[in-house]
Amino acid sequence: MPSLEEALAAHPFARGFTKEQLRILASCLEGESTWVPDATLVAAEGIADHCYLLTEGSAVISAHSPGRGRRSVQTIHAGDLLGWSWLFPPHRWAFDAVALTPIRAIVLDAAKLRSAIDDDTSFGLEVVRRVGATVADRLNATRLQLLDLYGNRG
Amino acid sequence: METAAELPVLDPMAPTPMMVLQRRDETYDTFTISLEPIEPFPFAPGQFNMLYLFGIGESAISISGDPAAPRRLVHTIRRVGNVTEALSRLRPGDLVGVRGPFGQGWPLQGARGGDLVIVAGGIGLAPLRPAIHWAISHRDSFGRVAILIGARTPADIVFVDEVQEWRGHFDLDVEVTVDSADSAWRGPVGVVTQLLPRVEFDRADVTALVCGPEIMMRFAAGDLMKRGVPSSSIYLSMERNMKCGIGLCGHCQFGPYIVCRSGPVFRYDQIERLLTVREV
Repeated sequence: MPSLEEALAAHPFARGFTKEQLRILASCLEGESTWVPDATLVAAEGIADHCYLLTEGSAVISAHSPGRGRRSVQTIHAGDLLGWSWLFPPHRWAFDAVALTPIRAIVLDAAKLRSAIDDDTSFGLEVVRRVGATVADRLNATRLQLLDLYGNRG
Repeated sequence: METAAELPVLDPMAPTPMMVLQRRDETYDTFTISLEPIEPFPFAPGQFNMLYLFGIGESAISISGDPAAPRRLVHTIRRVGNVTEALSRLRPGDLVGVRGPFGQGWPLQGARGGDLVIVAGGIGLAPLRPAIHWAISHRDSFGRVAILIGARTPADIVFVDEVQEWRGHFDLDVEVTVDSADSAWRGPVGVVTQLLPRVEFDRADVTALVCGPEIMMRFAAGDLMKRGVPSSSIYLSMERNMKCGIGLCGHCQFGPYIVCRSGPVFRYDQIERLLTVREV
């Protein structure tokens, strides 16, 4: 079983970090969390005080709609970053994340991470690049979903 | 690309009447009809037929059945216009005129020996289904085989029982995602291209077969190339307004190509540039 630091270094989010940047990232480690299926990882409007890096399982980003129940938007999997609300004010989650399967995630202290980003701009740039890539991937995917592509092919 | 070249097409412009054996609803707007050819009807996976309803019109429809069952000709059709609407009203015993099979199919013979990645969006699974049947019946010819399927909602997944059966094959990697779902859906939510990072394949020795809406195919091809798959190993099935089926009328012209004759399956590097042209 790898140590938490080793698991962090092996996570796709940490790929390409220098040793020093990995050390800074590891200094923000808070621990590891697990969830059972149907458990809520984060809830919309909750304070985004942690950054989660999924190492096992799948979760769905969703929103609850009165009278319509939970509507799922996107699924995330082991190797993914769970959201970016921890990085940008007002640091509150915009959507729910609900476990589809048993989940394990590395937990980073968001306040420490934000402080480290401010203190070391080269580290901060690398973190923001990775978060930006995640945002871009999910934005592109969402745009494709919005196009409702499958309605058009005869 | 492959054709059923051995098929004697006596007169490609004369429809052959065939009787409807079975009709089954796939989704609220998509159905499958099985026809009984008088003679065995060999075809290559990826080819299409022109289905003719006497007095109404003709429509190009991909063959969606098993190429190993040439006595049962299967088409899966979405209701989008007059002809397909009328086809949806067919019942067992009715007659349909059939011309075909036409076009170039999926390059399955050439893909042997390597990995196979099949990416289907919506009813794009229909032209890929014969290729999946072929890959399953020649499973030893391939390395890894991944089948990635995207649909609008869980209710829009076609061949749903069969997809479930494919998931039971230990040597197939089958993933299904939907664009939108409620909490009853336990599978992935998102566009089909998001499944690509989740499957393993040898990027230097893989053939990718992609069928779905054009934008989806362009993004799927782009994501495959990001994974290191050469554009010459990616194949797309294009849909254009096919009329004659034999390259004479020009209705389905796509840049320098006549889709009914040179396609509908194209290698991505042949058509990549054309996919970004607003009107071809």
